[in-house]
Amino acid sequence: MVSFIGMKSQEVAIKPVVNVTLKSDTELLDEVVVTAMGISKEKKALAYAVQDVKGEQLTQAASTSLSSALQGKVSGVDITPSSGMPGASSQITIRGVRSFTGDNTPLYVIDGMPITSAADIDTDTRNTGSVAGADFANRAVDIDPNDIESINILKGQAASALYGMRASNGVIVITTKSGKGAAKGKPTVTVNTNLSFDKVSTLPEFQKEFAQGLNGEFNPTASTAWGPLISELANDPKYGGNTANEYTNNGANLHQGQYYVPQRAAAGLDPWATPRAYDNAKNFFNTGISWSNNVNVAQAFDKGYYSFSLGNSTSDGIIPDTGMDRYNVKMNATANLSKNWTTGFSGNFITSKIRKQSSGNEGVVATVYGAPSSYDFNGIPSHVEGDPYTQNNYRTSVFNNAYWATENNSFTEQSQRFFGNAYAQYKTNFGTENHTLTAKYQLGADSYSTIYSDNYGYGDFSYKSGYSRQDDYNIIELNSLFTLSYDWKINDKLDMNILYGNEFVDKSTRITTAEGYNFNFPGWNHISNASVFQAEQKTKKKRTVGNFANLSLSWNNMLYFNATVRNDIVSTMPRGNRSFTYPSVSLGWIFTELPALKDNEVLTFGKIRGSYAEVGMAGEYFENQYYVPGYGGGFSAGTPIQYPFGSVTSYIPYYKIYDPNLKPQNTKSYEVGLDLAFWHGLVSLNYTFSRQNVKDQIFAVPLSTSTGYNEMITNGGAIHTNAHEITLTFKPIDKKNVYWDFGFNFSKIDNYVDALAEGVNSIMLGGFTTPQVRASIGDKFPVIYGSGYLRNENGDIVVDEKGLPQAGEPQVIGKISPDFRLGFNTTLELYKFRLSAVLDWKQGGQMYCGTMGVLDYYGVTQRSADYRKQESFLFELPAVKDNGDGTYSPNDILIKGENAYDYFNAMNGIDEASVYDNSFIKLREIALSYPIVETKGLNISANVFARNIIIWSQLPGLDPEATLGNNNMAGAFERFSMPGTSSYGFGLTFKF
Amino acid sequence: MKFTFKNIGKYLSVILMSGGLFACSEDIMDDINKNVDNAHDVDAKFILTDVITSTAFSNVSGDFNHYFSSYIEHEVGVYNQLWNAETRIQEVYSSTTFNNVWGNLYSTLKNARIIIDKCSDTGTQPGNYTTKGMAEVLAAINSALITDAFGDAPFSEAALAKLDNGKPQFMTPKIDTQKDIYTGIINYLDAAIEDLPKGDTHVTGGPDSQDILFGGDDKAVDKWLKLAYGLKARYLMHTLNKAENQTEVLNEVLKCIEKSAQNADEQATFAKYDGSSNKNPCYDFFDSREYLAASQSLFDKLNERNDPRISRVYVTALDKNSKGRQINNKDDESLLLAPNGKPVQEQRKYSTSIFGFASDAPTHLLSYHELLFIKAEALIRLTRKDEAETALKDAIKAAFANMEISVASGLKQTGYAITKNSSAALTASDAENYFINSVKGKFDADPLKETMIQKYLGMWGSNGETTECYNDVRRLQAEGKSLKDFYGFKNEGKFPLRAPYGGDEVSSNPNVQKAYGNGQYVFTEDVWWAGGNR
Repeated sequence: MVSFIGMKSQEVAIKPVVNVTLKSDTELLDEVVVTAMGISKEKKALAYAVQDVKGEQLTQAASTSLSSALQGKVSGVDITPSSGMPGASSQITIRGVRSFTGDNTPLYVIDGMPITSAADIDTDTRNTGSVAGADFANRAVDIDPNDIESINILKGQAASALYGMRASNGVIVITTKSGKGAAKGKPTVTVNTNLSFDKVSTLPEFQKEFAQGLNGEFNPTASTAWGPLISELANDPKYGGNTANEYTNNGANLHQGQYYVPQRAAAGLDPWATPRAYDNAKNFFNTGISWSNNVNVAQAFDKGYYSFSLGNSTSDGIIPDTGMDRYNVKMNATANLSKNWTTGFSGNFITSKIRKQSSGNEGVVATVYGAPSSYDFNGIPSHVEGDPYTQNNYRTSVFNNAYWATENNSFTEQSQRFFGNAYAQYKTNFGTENHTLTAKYQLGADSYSTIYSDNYGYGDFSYKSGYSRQDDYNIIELNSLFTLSYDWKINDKLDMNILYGNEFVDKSTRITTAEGYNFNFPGWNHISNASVFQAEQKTKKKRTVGNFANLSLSWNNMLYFNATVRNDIVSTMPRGNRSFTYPSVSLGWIFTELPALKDNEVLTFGKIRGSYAEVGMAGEYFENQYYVPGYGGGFSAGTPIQYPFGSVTSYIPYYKIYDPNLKPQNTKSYEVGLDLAFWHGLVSLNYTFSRQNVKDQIFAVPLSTSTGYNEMITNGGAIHTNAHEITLTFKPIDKKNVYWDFGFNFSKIDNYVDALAEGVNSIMLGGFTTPQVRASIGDKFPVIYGSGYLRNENGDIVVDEKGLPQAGEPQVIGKISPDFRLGFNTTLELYKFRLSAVLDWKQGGQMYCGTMGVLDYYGVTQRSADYRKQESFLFELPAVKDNGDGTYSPNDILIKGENAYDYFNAMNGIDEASVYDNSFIKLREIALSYPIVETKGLNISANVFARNIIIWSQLPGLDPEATLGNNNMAGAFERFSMPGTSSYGFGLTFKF
Repeated sequence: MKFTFKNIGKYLSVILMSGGLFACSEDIMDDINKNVDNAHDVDAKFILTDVITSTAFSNVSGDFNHYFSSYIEHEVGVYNQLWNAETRIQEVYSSTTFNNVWGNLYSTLKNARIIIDKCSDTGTQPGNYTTKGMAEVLAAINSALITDAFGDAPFSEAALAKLDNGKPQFMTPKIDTQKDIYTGIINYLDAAIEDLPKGDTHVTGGPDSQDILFGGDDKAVDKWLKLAYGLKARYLMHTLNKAENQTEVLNEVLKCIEKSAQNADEQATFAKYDGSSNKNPCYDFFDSREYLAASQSLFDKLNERNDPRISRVYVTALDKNSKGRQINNKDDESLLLAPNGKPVQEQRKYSTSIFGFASDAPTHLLSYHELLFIKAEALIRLTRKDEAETALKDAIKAAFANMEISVASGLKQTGYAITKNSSAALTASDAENYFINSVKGKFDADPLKETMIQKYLGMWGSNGETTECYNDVRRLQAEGKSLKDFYGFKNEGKFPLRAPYGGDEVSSNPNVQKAYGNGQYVFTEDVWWAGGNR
């Protein structure tokens, strides 16, 4: 769609429509953006940082997920995907975090109405620290980037102040295609179709020399590949076809050159196999296929306009039986009823189904990566002959055979959602020239139901006789918004605007959960086959009433002042503590309007701006309550005790108590910034520094458990954030047939935990007892905590008498947040070709990568084989040995290659050995488009694109963005996570 | 329309009215925020049920039992955390090891105290004396579990029934001495002995079927009373070495035992396990982890006595299809015992005891055979050897019968196919013969030692009695009995004298943090009743 602001008319005639918007984007000076509460303002009038992204930029590489479409394109925003799987969760935070364990993701506002974007289910609570089970999508997954006209990101609290408490994490304001500016008369139809292919982005390098086993001996059920040479398997004394053993009938039936594979026998195949190496991981992953289509019809009339679109996206993931199907229907219409009255509506209906697989301790990839190359993981059936419910695997414990798991375990999310609103607006100028009053009432609803279905088949390792869990989430949110705005042009130089608003939000949630354990018989993995049932119902209501006001003054196109105040009354806080009021002020000064600087040909625009804001965040308070206790956790793999016993059940006080003096957590922030444009936009620079001080965080403070309670929801703690954001754009060539622009988005966000509650030094965000991700005082947020290398007083790593590193005390072993992120975007147009690319660089920060440490320990990696083949080697980090007399000397104890297993075993026991630098550079997007047909009635353009195809990373063999958890631990913790993907594809756009 | 200040007034009143329309009173907000999915108060009997369950499943037979079975060589830890415990590294002194059971114990104690509070004269169900007495018994058991394992511990300021304006009365409870906690334990039992017979007179009535320990029928009160007496005997015995007049205490012990369970039907045992939806905790631990294998030193004691239990209680290492078979006898070539303190860290290498398979065997809060063993010990200490011999013989008979219940459970569970051997279940006459042929001689030579060894063997099993047995071992050690010579232990590592405090407490309660230090005190500091001073 064409934005009609800031366009140069002579260029419209000769350029494809799509270019116009992009051009106007670089000329940011007069651009109008939608800020809080639907207020449109000239960008130059804003005294805080906002950044907008146009729809075309989002869809240039055909991303079907909004968060991946935004990667690298904005500053101050951290986007942390969990994997490359269809529908995978993705965590977006703006200018760091404000809450330790609560939601830090921004508010999404679509066409003037806030919608739910967070995940219903937190993997931390559901998947015991996010280390088991399947991921849970966030509800931003419902948004089709194709429907988006533009996105404006309100980064700071001053920008989002009018939205109140919900907006303390920033706001993503989305304006969908409305038909505004469409051609009058004939409707414009745009058909867009894209087909893309996904493959696993990177794989560890596997060794192909050594067979399954330990200590050089072949063992067909070992979890490790420290066996003999694969080429020697036929000579194995126990299983070799060349030797006299049990299977060769003591030499009577030799199978020369072959060896006996018990799993082949169990599967009913010829047990004798010729030794060779297999590409087990490569064979396992499929090529994922994604097909997305969007049809849009837009039309304008004399008294209104509409836009109607229908989209679908069908993806099959790289892991068997994973994928996502999504259908979006959207209708926007606006009617100008009279000179004063306008009415309109926006409605979206989405239905989606996501098919997932489990990760972490139940990770399907554990056996994919872990399978010794001597084992034909792909060829040998995953179950024993005649019994599909008894697994046949290269190892006998802990992990499911991946093929078996994808066939027998299913994890799905099925969702149906409607969100939209209708409004009526009355506008009058009282018959004057300089007074305008606008009253608008908008009523909206965001209503969805999602069914989460987890089914562990009969024969699974975690649930031996199966388990089924069905969660039905029904959420309805009503949003009523009344605004009254009054504009008064007081004189030639002074303008004033006053806005009053009232927002009323009523949200009700109902969750019904049914669980069935212990299937009666295999073959029917369904809750109706369970022999033990549990059901639960949770209902929750929440009401927020906000009253707000805004005062804007502008003087002489040079000074812009803005002040807001908002009061929220929230039902989820304790009586007497429900009402809160927060202010914000901002001031912008366009100094290039000074007579001395005006009409300067070099510095064509310059603005200094500053703002201050306070905003609160409410918690969830309940009266103390009783519940039916649950058993499990600790050493228990399942649920060892389940009430009721027959008809007898029990209720005990909940382990969590609520502080009746709970108050809202408070964020105070200020930001200062500078916007400069040189040579009429040839170079433009925006810089913002912001500081947030957040205190009185609401979280579950761990109690001394001798009180009889585990945790209390109360206030405690403080965190501060310093953020630097720079957006720098260049437009060096802007000729008739050649156009080139490029830009950088730089963010440096430093979050420090200043305090936690009294007596609390850390809060766990996820992971295991060790290693885990936690918030700890004085450290950047968050950190990895786990066993470090044993070090002496000097901090030198101390090896033992064999030269092996040793585990020391649990400690902070890694800092997760990066030093900076830098996105690079460029567009090059040559005649009718248009090439665009996005690069994303994350520098610094660390992650725990459990998989690589375990794979080395298993001996399946090339690295482990390389060490094994060496005569001897030294522990790879600088270290010292203990001389036994209190002194240390440099480590010179060589480890023999044949003892490489001991080395990797020792390393695997030290969490710090699995902490990696998480710096990477990714070629996020590269796309080329070309208009094939350009006639008056028909435009057809073709494009080819690729995403995430090149990764330069410090992490060997795995995608640094494939991690566990859909919450604040995202991006930090890897252990048999779902893999990342690279995509290639092409598409066509028809417009008539 | 002309713009005037009059008009402004009109518009302002519209604004204010619309604001008023959407405003909300605190009452309405309270109503909206009401949690309708949970009860906000319940009768004491509904709490009682889980106090019983958690005491049995989590506290008596939970992680204490698993780890202590490595400490006292009932089993051998062969993998991961239990291997670490077996080799006496980290787990033995780390505050994470017993963190879960620490939290469970205090939560259970608090719940028991809530029942007591509710059923007190000032509570919401005054007159429910019997229910109160049951809670007093359970409070005593959990208090004893806390202090026996951890020594000095939060007690008087911890696990309190009432919150103070929504918060715990003491956010960081102080540490009480074990001596004071023991005074509290005996007080609880004395109160229970007084309260239990007085009936439940409040209109809400007694616990009936919510009493899942004894079933709530008309005989239940009598059994609870017997449990209270039996526990008193056990706890008096714990503190025997601290008594000024030991003879008096021992006579008191015998008196209590007379008033306690007189047969296995009357013993306090948690029998709600069915093997599938509710699992015996030892089975659950084995099934989930497979961390334990059969102990060499324990086998040696059986073997030395030519014990018929050998052909009942061992199972071969499971094969890759998770199948095993009952070991035939001591010469069975598949019998591979795990060396104490130095096993290879490998699962399914060593034979295991059958007790990890007993999926529906009950957990004993206080067994009949334990009472008989206590009786035998008391009699020996009172130099009434002949009576002691009878008591010991009865104890062994009861222990054999108890063991066979677990063996039957282990053989019939369906998670792992265990092939039976040809041996028959041991009977009372087998126990009699065993006593005559193998025990009597040793008893005559050293009655206390053989009694304690037989108790040690009799309390080995699926019933969570290792936890109590660890107290015996430490008590005897405190009397100067060497673990090697007296108990025949073979682990060369340092013997842990206690369990380290729980990690959540260490990190949030400075009183406990200070007491925990670096955790090494578990190797050096005896608990008070074992001669220590903390």
